Amino acid sequence: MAVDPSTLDAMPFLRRLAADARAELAAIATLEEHSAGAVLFREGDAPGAVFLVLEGRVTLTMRVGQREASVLSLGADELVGWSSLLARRRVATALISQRSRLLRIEASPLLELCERDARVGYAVMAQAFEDVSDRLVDTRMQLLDLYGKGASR
Amino acid sequence: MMLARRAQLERLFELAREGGRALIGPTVRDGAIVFAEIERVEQLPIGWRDVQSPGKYRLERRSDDAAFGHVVGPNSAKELFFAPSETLYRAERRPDGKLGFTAHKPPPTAKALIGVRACDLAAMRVQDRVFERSQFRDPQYGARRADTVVIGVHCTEPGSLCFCSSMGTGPRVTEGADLALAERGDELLVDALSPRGEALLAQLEATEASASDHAWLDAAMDASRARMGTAVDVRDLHERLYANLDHPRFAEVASRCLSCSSCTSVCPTCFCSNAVERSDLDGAASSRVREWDSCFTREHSTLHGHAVREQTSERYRQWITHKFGAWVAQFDSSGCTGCGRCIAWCPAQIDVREELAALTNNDRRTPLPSARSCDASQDETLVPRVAEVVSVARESGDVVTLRLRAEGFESFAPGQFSQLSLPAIGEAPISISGRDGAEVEHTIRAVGALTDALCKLEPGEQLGVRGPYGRGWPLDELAGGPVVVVAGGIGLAPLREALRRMIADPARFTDLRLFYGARTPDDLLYAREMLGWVDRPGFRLYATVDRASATWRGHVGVVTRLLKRETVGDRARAIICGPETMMRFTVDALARAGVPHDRVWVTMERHMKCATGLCGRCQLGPYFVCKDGPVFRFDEVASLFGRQGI
Amino acid sequence: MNAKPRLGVFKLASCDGCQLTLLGCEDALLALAERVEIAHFPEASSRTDAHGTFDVALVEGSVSAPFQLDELRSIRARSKRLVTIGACATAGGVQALRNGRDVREFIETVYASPEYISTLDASTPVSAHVAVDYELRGCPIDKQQLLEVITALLVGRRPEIRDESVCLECKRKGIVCVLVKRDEPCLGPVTHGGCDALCPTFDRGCYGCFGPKERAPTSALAARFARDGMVPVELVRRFRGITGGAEAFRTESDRHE
Ligand SMILES: Cc1cc2nc3c(=O)[nH]c(=O)nc-3n(C[C@H](O)[C@H](O)[C@H](O)COP(=O)(O)OP(=O)(O)OC[C@H]3O[C@@H](n4cnc5c(N)ncnc54)[C@H](O)[C@@H]3O)c2cc1C
Ligand code: SF4
Ligand code: SF4
Ligand code: SF4
Ligand code: FES
Repeated sequence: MAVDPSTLDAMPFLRRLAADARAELAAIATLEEHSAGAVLFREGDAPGAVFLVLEGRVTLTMRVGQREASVLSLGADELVGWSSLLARRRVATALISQRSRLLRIEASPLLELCERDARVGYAVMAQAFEDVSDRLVDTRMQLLDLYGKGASR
Repeated sequence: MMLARRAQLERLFELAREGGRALIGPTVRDGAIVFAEIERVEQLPIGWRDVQSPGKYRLERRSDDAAFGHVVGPNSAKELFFAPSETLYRAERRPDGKLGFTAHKPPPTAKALIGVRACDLAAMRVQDRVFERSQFRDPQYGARRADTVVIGVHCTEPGSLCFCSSMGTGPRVTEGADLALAERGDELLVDALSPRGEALLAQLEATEASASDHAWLDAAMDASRARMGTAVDVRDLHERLYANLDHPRFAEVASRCLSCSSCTSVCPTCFCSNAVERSDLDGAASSRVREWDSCFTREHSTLHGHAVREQTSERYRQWITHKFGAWVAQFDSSGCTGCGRCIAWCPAQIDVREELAALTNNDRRTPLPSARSCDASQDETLVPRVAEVVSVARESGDVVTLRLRAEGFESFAPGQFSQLSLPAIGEAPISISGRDGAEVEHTIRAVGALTDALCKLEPGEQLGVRGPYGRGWPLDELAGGPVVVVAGGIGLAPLREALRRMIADPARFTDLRLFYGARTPDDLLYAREMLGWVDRPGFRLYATVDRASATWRGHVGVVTRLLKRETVGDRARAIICGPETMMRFTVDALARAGVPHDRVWVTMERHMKCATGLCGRCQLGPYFVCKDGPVFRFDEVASLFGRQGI
Repeated sequence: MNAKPRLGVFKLASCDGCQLTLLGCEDALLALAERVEIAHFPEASSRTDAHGTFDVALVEGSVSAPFQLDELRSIRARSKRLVTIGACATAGGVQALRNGRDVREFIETVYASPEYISTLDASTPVSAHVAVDYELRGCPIDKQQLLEVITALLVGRRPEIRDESVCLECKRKGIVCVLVKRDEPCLGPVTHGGCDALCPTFDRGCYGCFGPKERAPTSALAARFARDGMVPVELVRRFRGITGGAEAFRTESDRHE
């Protein structure tokens, strides 16, 4: 489904972008809906699209031996699969765990757009950087195993 | 004031010992002038003086035969009232498995003290305030302290380590004694400071003192004060110390300090204690024993296997900022009387007067909360009541909820906690997680010996309970606006009863959101009960876990991520319970959402032994977590929160 | 009724003094025998079972010879809880004074037939080789502490043996500090309590039998001794006593050598 640029106007994630830049982005984006259980991509897949969650829940899972472990769930206004921008293989599986509406942007036109329009490039990367840094802090907290034995109550 | 021959001391000894009172006064023993039981005047240190300097104490002969020509020695009246080691209660496990707890009462021994200096009288007042006029009263101290006759002595010859003049406690005896004596050659100037003192004085052979006698004493006191000078600048000392918590001098003094606890042990006001189980060999009975402790030991601050104050610098900071700083906020006076003992008996020869000057060599000040007054004290024997397990609910792999039949919980506030105990194993603070009629619930995670044993209890078995203790959640302040509740792990337990009450009252709590983070889906507490909450009006639940299998459809990630996703709104008030790190990040996330520190409440955890403000273990700056907390409004503790070694 | 927990008492390189402490518990030992089966205790009885499994193993002595290492590993494998008793097992003991020196030379000086002596170069504490659940210090150990460890382990709690200075014990007992009153070089401020301040009670300085406490700033104490006029050779000797092998004491004595 094509995207009406006004959909993007309401998204805090793109608040740094000027209106015309948002329109450019809208032009390469599509809207998708998935029901619970669907898989957006799998760990190890070749790089592909990046997603922004509009509504619903996407859970990232990773293979640990024979089992899949959920490591992070993402909700409205959060990014999914953006390591594709670095042309990396998928590092986790993205599983739709609750009916979701997503904005899908293919990586290569997005990178092209970023190269072409530095404003878009800066805004997208700044936003992605902020998100990555938040996730890093969260991951550290998870690593600390705060609720584990020996940790403080 | 009256004038008597010094020989009247004989008569005074007789009177003081009347009715079998034990007379305690200064006497030479083991190379020092100690405070011990004496019977005869000759046992006073007649003709002796003590020469003191940092880390050194020597006895010397005087050129005269003064009986009180010395100052304070290694011990003080503290040990008479606050015993170095004492049994609090005996616990018994009868053959049928039932428990019995019997308070241990110290034998009533009436005492008379003679030769008590002004600084030590001040110390007795300081300890009276701690043990007798705080929220909880210590009956053991009370029993030993009651009905004590006190005969003070003015210090006409201060020692070189004395600084009572700075601390405003001496050298003149003005209160806290029945009689005050001054020794002048073979004469005594005697003042009665109480009706009992007057009765004693009336039985001595004495004449009214003259104006020149009065003038002599005034002059002697002035001279004594002048000799001591101003060794410590006490103006705003507590605020100046608290402004210098990161002073480099702490690291410097730590390179000299042995962390040996001598200073706190000889201090006549230090009141910290430990309490331990002593099992009888046959395993059927045990005693709970309380012993002097010190903030210089590692054990004093251990929490989950780590010491809050691991470094010597942190321990030194605790002692000096408590004694001269936090004490003011806790008990409305300094904890120091200027007796100089901690200087003389420090093996490392550290002089606290110098350290104070070095630590406050700037104009910085940080205000401390003012002392909370305490209108009514209640007796607290520290003896548990017997409670019986009614049922046990397993919440997760290592957490159970015990439903107990126990008295005394009729009017507890959600957020308060109990002390649960098992004879021979120990006692621990555990939050009250709910109440249902006459039954109270506690949700316990097995992390050590006691909690393991508690988690293994079965219906019908007994345990000990004390409480409820502490300050709970401010439900009335939360009512009316949106409320955010953030819980991590077992931290949901102290919040459960508060949640229940808020959910049951949608008129006052129209917008209530619970953000709950746990380790895995299996570790989510009260899962079934929470499912019942979700369709209550005005309530929303957001649960997240740190890790899960791919079949888990709920949130994965830390609780602050959930909080960021939701619009909290700056009108919200928040209450938080979880690990300190999680609370720190949550407070920050709330602040970003516009919720200021004075609308956020957190719970603090510290090592606890008494839960009544008597053991000193749970101190957090000016607060006792047990009675001033465990719930604090965040701005009260913001400057101490998460700070290393506090 | 469950079977009684089994207790074993083992010995490596040591003088038996600590085991004697256990024997010295007499009445207590009888009461204890009601609750535990003392399955192996060669010092006390010829009925021994060195090869069974144990709920609690008390190990005396340091590892000083190769066969002791094998024995120790075997004891560990068969015991739920392993408690080292005394300065030898916990810190290497007096035997550790040979560490870092030429052991052959000692052997040739001391023994008539040195070829029969099989020994390791260092006398090491048990914890250098196997996991230790609890260390009971002292030379010898203190009777009350030993009973505390056993009774605590029987109910499954941590023994209430606090890692704090001898000073605290002196102060609770009302003993006048020998260091302050006459500059007696007492190791109490840096030494782990547990002896109930035995030496200071008899008006002597502490020798450090229970080893360094958790925070043992020995250099600050040595500085005080030096201010009182103690010369380096004496400082070396002072810290190189019964628990001279323990880290804090060893480095302090080495510093003055
Ligand atoms: C106000 C308050 C409320 C609490 N509420 C709960 C609750 O609702 N549910 C729950 O499971 N736990 C709660 N705790 C924590 C609980 O008190 C400790 O887990 C318990 O004391 C451990 O005792 P233990 O004998 O089993 O463990 P131990 O064998 O003593 O050791 C386990 C670890 O716990 C630490 N610890 C020991 N004693 C204390 C103490 N008195 N205070 C804090 N830490 C200690 C030790 O440092 C040790 O590392 C609360 C603590 C406080 C201060
Ligand atoms: S702090 Fe020192 S000087 Fe002050 S009362 Fe205590 S022992 Fe005396
Ligand atoms: S915390 Fe305070 S009362 Fe307790 S030992 Fe330290 S200085 Fe003394
Ligand atoms: S200040 Fe002195 S007496 Fe106090 S712990 Fe340090 S070395 Fe010991
Ligand atoms: S003062 Fe004892 S626990 Fe707070």
